[in-house]
Amino acid sequence: MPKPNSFILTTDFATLKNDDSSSTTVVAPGLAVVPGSSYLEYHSDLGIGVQGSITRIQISSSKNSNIIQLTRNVSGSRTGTVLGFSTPYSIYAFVYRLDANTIRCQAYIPNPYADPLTTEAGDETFTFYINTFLPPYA
Amino acid sequence: MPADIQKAKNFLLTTDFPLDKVIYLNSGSVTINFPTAGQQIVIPHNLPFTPLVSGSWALNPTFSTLYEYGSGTFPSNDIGSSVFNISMDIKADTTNITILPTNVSGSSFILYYRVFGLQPSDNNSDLLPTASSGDNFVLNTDYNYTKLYLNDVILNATTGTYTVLHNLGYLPQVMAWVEDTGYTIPIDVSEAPDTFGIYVTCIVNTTSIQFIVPAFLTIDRIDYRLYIDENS
Repeated sequence: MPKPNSFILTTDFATLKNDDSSSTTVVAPGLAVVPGSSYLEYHSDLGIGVQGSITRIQISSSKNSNIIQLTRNVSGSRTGTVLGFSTPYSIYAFVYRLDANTIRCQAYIPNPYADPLTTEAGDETFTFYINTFLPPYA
Repeated sequence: MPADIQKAKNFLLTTDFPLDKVIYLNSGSVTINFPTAGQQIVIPHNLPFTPLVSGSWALNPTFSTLYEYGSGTFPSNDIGSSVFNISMDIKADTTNITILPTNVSGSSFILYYRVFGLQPSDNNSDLLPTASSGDNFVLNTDYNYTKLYLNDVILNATTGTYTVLHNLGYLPQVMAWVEDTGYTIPIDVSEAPDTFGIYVTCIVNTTSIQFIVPAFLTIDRIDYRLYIDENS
């Protein structure tokens, strides 16, 4: 039996095939009104990767100094207003497949409150960096 | 002559840097209940170490639309409790790989899963080949093969920032896993840098990667793989 870590490459073991890459931005506008018990979402769709491909993803946010994080689902805490009162809320940036060949990069603001939530001022731009891989499956 | 990284990253394949070797493959299906009530899918891996796991899952056997661990279907039927309607997380320990479902869809369904594993950098066990389990070609020049530059582990990480220099001058591709309380989990879900709380965060820049361990947390190990291939 071979020791795979002893080899630069070996045909005894399957590997990951990098088939595509792309990046995109999604803007969540400031002072948006999220209806009660509902959500707002903003997205950008990328037609990358063959059917069955998986991803390596990094995401940054303009409200976090554009620091780039290794993640496929990042959450942030923000402060908006509900009925005029200062209220914390969450914003998420994540990636999921819409169909076999489309990856959706999405910003998502759920409002768990019964009353409308006004998000904080200032647009927030998320940048998504995506590389797709064909994993070792027939 | 030492490897020229700037030139090497322009090649689909180079023997100057190692390729990823997939040392574990598995797939299957299982019914996920509603409510899940703590349901877990436990798969013995029979490896002499804890593999670095990843993969995908789907709601149909052809995987025509697949999802990855840490992600799922949108929108959620219960926005107060879950971002996704159906999502899966994955973890591994010394004996098993465990898939953890979240299901707020209101109904049961059949989960189709695919799992692959990589070998930690500090293990060099003899292993059974996986190539025959994979697709038709192990190497195919229609694709790029990401070239492994740094492959290492940080042990017993306590609260703080751990910096690994790469000095590539561009954003590299990275994969990382965290082992906590005996389970190794891919870094898929995280918090923004201004809200560090319960997750280890991995920050990537043009000269280094940083792992930030939040307060009151001690991590048994952080496995990372950094490639000379540029991020998108």
